[in-house]
Amino acid sequence: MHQNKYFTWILYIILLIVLLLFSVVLGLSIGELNVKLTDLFRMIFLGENTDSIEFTLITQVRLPRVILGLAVGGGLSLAGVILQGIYRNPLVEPFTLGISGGASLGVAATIVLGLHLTLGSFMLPLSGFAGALLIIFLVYAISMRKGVLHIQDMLLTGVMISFIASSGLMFMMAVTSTENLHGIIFWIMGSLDESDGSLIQLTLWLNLGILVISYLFVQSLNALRLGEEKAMQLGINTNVVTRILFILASLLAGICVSVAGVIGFVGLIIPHLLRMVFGTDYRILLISSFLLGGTFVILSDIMARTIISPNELPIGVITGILGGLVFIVLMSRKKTRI
Amino acid sequence: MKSLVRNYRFSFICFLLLSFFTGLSLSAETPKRIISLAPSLTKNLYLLEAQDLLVGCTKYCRLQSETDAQVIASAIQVNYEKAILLKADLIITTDLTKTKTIDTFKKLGIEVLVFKNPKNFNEICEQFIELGAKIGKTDQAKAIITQARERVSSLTASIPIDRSRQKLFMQIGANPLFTVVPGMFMNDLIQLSACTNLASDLRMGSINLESVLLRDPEVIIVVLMGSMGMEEKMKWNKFTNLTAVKKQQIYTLGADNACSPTPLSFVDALEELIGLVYSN
Repeated sequence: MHQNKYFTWILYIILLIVLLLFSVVLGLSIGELNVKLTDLFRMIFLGENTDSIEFTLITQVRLPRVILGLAVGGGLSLAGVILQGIYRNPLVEPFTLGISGGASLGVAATIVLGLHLTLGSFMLPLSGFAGALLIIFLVYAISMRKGVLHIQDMLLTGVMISFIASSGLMFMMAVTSTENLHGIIFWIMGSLDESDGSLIQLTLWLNLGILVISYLFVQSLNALRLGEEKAMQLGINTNVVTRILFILASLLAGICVSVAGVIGFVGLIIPHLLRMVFGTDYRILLISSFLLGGTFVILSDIMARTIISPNELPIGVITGILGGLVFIVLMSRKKTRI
Repeated sequence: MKSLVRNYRFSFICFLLLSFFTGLSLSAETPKRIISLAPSLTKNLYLLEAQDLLVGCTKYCRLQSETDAQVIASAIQVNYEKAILLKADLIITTDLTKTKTIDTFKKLGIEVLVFKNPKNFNEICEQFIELGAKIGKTDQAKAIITQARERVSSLTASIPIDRSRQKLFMQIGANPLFTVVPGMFMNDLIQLSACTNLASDLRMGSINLESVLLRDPEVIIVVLMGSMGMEEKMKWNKFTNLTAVKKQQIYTLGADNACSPTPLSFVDALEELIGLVYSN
């Protein structure tokens, strides 16, 4: 029975990897200039036509976007599945706790103060990450009483801090110039257009690292499905586990938002979709969320850059519309347990 | 009785004539206290040497002296109370200002003159003359425009005629990539410098990087504030296949002049642009 289950899981993971590879190939070959699959493989694996415009497009424009899409989509989706596990609430996503609000506030402050103009554009992701960290710290500190982390309080605190961050953002937008307004609004809508290769690599490795670390807590996440008390009876130190998982998920979301802006719905829709297929076992949910999240964002990015080409849409528009529609359909068809 | 009626009729006609002429003279009266809700319009007032009329402006208007005017607005929000206290009789603004704000000022009995975002150099000139006429400085405005047009003519005449029109990409936004398209006054900078706008077929300014690379610009002009301009220039240099990179024709252009729809800023930006494009 168990062997059958594991066998099915392996098959599904292989299927998800194939789907991811398919989206990667699509991402590399589709665009303003469509590249044939054979030409794509020749250029990448045989090193042919390396001085052509196609090679430049693939290696310097599309590949960074595809890698960042995988890292950000995977990261947001993983953060979503972990947070939904901790809170046992299907509506929680990385941005519910105000992490995106904090990052947006940090970036807006940098744009308003012009720090990106004086110190360099690296200030944008840095300030976004700092803003996200500040929110994580606030939510954590406010929800901690007598050394115990109150999970449900944490959710409420997160929502409230999210509102405060949104108001802070509106304040920034109200007092700044029209040029800055433009910058803030477009940052909020999200983009995978990042030219700094080392930042993209760092994002990917950090997110993969957190995926590996999260597997150390997979049994605890499974136990938490039964409720905090039962998990404690099973020998899980829920207080410590919850803290670590919260920090991991928040860091993931903070990293993703600071690099790519607010790309909504990924952390909500992907875990839901996978629960319908796999049930609630986190051993398969964690890795599959990462893989499908990455695939979803890569495909959304292809749509964002081709749908009104040569103009480009912000990726948040695509994930928001697609995610929202899929979510409504899923909610109307089936209710799943967390 | 008849003489009484005649007297009344005479008085009534006199009253009508008096009120007619008074009204006429009132409508022809130039404004004494102006609030400007756009930095470019404030700049225009300075060009017309009408800074003594300026009583209020936005936080982003550049004043020659802090005492010239009081700040009464940010980019999107106006402090109505402060505006009323300044007793302005004219508010000049652009179509970027919220309709609600314009309506509120009208309800308060203040005249509002709204200038549309100019689509080309001609519209910049027309709007400048309209502003001049409004504040009673038509001749001065016309003289400035004549001078600006003459400078444009001499600048365009200085362009070497043997050079073919180069494909020029003018970047005005970094993330997302944003460019100048027809219908923006900055498109005239490209046209007047005898270049072809790489995005001449587009209607929206957002453009994907791939399209720019495939269209292969011969000249790239980065119009961004601060260090962003240099950073973007370095990013473009990574694409060694681009003709602009091969020809080393990637330049930064001062955003202050290029993005400001005033006649002199436009001509200054055009002079800088022509200098850059034909420097080789």
